[in-house]
Amino acid sequence: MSALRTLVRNRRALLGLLGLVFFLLIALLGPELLPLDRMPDPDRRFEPPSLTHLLGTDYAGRDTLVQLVHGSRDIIQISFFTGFFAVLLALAVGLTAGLLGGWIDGILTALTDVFLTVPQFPVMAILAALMRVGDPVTFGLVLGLWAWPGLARSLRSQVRALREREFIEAARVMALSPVWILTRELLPNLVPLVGVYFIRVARDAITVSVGIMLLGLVPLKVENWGMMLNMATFQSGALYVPRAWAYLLSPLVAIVAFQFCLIQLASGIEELVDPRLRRRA
Amino acid sequence: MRTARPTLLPLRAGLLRVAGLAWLVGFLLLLVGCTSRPPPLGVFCGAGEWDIPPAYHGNPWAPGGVGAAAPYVYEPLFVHVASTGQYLPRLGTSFTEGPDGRELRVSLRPGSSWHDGTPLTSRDVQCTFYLGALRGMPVWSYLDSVECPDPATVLFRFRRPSPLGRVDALTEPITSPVHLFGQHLPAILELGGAQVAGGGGDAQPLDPELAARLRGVREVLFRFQPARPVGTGPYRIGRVTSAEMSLEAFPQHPETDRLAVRRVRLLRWGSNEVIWSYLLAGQLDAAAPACPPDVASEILRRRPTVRMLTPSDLSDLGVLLNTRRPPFDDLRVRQALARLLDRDLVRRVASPFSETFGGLQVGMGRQIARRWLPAETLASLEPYELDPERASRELEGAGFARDSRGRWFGPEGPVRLELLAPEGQSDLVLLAETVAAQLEAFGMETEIRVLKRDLYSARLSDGDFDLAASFGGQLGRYGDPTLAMERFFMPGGQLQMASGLPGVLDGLDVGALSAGLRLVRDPLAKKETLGRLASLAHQELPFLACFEKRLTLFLNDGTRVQGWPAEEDPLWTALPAGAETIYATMLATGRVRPAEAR
Repeated sequence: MSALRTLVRNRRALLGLLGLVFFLLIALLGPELLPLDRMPDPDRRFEPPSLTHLLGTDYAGRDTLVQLVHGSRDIIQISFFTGFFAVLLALAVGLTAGLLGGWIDGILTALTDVFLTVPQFPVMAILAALMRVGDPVTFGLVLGLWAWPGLARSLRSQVRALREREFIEAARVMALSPVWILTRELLPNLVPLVGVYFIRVARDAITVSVGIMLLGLVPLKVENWGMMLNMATFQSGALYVPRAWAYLLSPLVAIVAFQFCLIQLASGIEELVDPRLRRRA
Repeated sequence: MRTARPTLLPLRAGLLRVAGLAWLVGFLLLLVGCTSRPPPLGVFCGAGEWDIPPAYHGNPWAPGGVGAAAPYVYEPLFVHVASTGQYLPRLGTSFTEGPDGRELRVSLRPGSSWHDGTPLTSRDVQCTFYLGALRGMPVWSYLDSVECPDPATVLFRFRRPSPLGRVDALTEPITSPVHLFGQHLPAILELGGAQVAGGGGDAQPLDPELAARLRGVREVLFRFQPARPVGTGPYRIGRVTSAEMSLEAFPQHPETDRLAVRRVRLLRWGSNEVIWSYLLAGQLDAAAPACPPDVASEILRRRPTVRMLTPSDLSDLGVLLNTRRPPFDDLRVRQALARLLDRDLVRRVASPFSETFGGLQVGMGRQIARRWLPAETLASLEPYELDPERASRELEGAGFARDSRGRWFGPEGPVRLELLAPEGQSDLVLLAETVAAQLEAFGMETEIRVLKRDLYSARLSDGDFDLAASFGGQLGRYGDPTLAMERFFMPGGQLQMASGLPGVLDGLDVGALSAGLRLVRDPLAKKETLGRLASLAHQELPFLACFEKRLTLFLNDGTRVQGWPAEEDPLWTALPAGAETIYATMLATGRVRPAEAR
């Protein structure tokens, strides 16, 4: 409770949190209020903002705002699940390697290095030939598969450093169980790193998801913000049509705002948990 | 009283300001230096792709090769105009064909020479075709030999006479002077071109020793990489950089006096967006990128000297149906789909300049169908008009029903379709999107998957799809629907493999019929066969064409060059064979000339 209070007191964290709540509300309630109609109406393409279409229309005459609202659910789900799976995998690998050491550490570190060096997109192209991903959970898992190694490495180093610290030694001397040491002593010290990494992965997932859609691993959704931007820039030529400014800028601003909120929250959490940063702030 | 201590800070700040200003000026000067000046009057500006130096080389057979300069540097014997069947002379002046079509005799243009000054002879033409056999040149499906009765005459002998083979032989660019490439000829001549190319089906498998020898010949040929290509064309390459190529007029060209435009500048194509930017900036004189209507309007608005033509691509785009698996294994479902899709809406979103296909699904556009198919065949077919109610009835007749939410389900459960589209082909992606939106609105759940081209082709040939946004009939440079029918029905034909249509339909061996179509020389017999196959395409619906594709060709008339012909000019119908070949022909014949100074 005190952590939440401190978080709310931090202006950056508060800004990020409020922004994310706003996006969450849009994702939860928006689609119920504004039904999605994918049917094209070419006579209304690239209409500027008006009372009928608050953010104008796209290259096929569909309402941009409605697409943004429906895309937000997709974006939030993909971001969340990617971050979740990346963190889960990283915790499993990083903690095991850091705590157990020895040959297990060797194998897990080698595995992490493999995932760090194997390029993501060629593997995704192969995966696209082998499997079909339809739901955001599996999509998040697929994206998360390539996002965990950085955090796993950091966690391993942190755990190895913490293992030698006095409070862990003291816990060992007190014959506390390994589970106790892990959950009560180690994990709280890793929360900031995990939190910041979660947000960074969630942020990157938006960009990567467009590439994955264009590889055919997941179905194409024109209301995905990244795909909206891609369609505006490359497929429909909105970049070259002055009256299409609203359609071009809408997904761009939405992505920037969402990522800004995530970054603010991440910075806030960092300040919250790092006393040196807190003092500077 | 405290006095202020003298400080160097103001001086340092001043110095910093001056340094900053100097840096800014320097940076701006650099920027100005980097910007390219528009080429002067009389220089033709086009666009294309080529290998970046130092990889660039002048061997047309080796990987990489001559790139976008090829149509300006090399000449074919003739340029074929698909709509009229006319052949415009280039390196050849005239040709005569034997009564059975087995001999084709071509006279070469007198006074032609290669860019290094060596005179052109029939041996060079022969050399080109035999080297082409090493790369599997398609004309060897029909050809038996290329002979040189005298230095100014080439004699093509055909094993399998075909109107398409004649087009191939007469329009192949002549690229290989015997004094540069002749060392490879004896080995190929010994085996025969058809054998080397593996063409025609009757070619015997190569002896392993001979195959190894040919591999050796191919390797030596590929290793030969002169810095610049040597052609006979009106232009030769001057400078090649990663961003642009410049070509100069070849003064010894026999028709150099007609060549009014003496310099050509080619810019790197990169992507369609790059070309739109060049067109908006007025940097190109001719280009045919795929272009959305609003971008086209913007280009025309900003550049009053640019006009846009929309000649036919002689191809149609639509939805390929997998007849192997449910629900499209049922003809009634395919027919229902033809009645529920608003194909004109698809055209208006995906390619607004294109032409609506209409209700006849005969594998070719309306005008081409009128020219090539018997009138009675066309009259006997019932067009598939937009009629969603009838489509619903047909689906119900096929055992499908709607649930309370309006979603269709069939004997195997709810209808869930997967629609494939190839990445990077914006018209096909937009087509897929519009089709999926209509199917969704009709109550059929449809997912779009955009795939890398290789994966897309693999999924199609494996039959692993429900629907695919695809090209249908493609008439190509021949302007002949034979190719379309081959794609639909010939065993191994791209659409036949993908759709899974059987080789025998209505008791008719459509595979054999389409495979033999290329060799039919009697126009009436050909028309009749085409009519039978087209009727089956309409009836069986392996492919649902949405529109006949039209190209968006931008011509800048009056800025640097002028004289581009009007849209009605038949020469534009040769555009599907390669727009650059047409630009080069117009430059070489003096139709396009420097713009008058204003």
